[in-house]
Amino acid sequence: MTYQITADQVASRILDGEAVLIHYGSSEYFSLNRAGTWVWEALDASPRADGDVSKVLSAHFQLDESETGGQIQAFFRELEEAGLISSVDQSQAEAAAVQLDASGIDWEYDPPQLTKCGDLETLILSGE
Amino acid sequence: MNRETATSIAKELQLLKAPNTDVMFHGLSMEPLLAEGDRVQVDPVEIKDIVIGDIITYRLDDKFPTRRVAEIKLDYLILCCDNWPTVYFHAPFTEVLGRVRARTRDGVTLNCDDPEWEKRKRLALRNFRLETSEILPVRMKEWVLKRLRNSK
Repeated sequence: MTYQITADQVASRILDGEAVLIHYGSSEYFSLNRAGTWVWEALDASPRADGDVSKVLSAHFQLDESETGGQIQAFFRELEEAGLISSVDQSQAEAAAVQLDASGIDWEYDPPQLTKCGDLETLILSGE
Repeated sequence: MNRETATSIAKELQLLKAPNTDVMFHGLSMEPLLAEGDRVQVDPVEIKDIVIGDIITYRLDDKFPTRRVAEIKLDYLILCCDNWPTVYFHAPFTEVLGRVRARTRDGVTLNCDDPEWEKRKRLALRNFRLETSEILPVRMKEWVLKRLRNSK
């Protein structure tokens, strides 16, 4: 299955290799670990198939692809359930595809992880 | 990343990116233009686009103070408050987040290009200059020296 970021519903920022995501509709916000952020950046560049992501990560870290595949699939499922990504037509995805590149990875592998941090509340501007 | 940092980043994203986000003003310092409970719209802004008299929001610890630009220096702003003409603040360029575009009170929206907004701006800047013309240069020098000492 191929996915893309639901760009009209989501904003993100990366700090020290870890991303924070907010979802406008649900008002939830999340953080990602290093591997999750790498996947998120890959999705930000182009729609991605979970299988392609797990292939590249497995090859780079010399991991068992069946195990990594399950982890990546679960991660994509979590992102989708949170409304952060949605599935996309395969042909559209292929047309927009940007090569996945693991050469910049400088961290140890941990399965990608999405953590819900809380719900956004009314924002207060301080005039004190 | 700890939760506190994530929350802080999420709030900035909410302020600047989320459409129709609910932003409320709290405090007395910008009355009568901005009052407690007013709904406020803030747009992202580039430093080069800021002019004296704009009302800007900046990052200070976990808060978003919102004040009027009184002077623009090399790498920071001097900010004043409409309701407290003797008080002023400094905001390094790096901490500036956005500029207030409008406020809504009792269902009525006032935009920053409205004549009433312009009138409040002129009054606030005049009062600030009258109140601080002698003391401001001395205090600014002290603040710049303190920054230089801290950066060493």
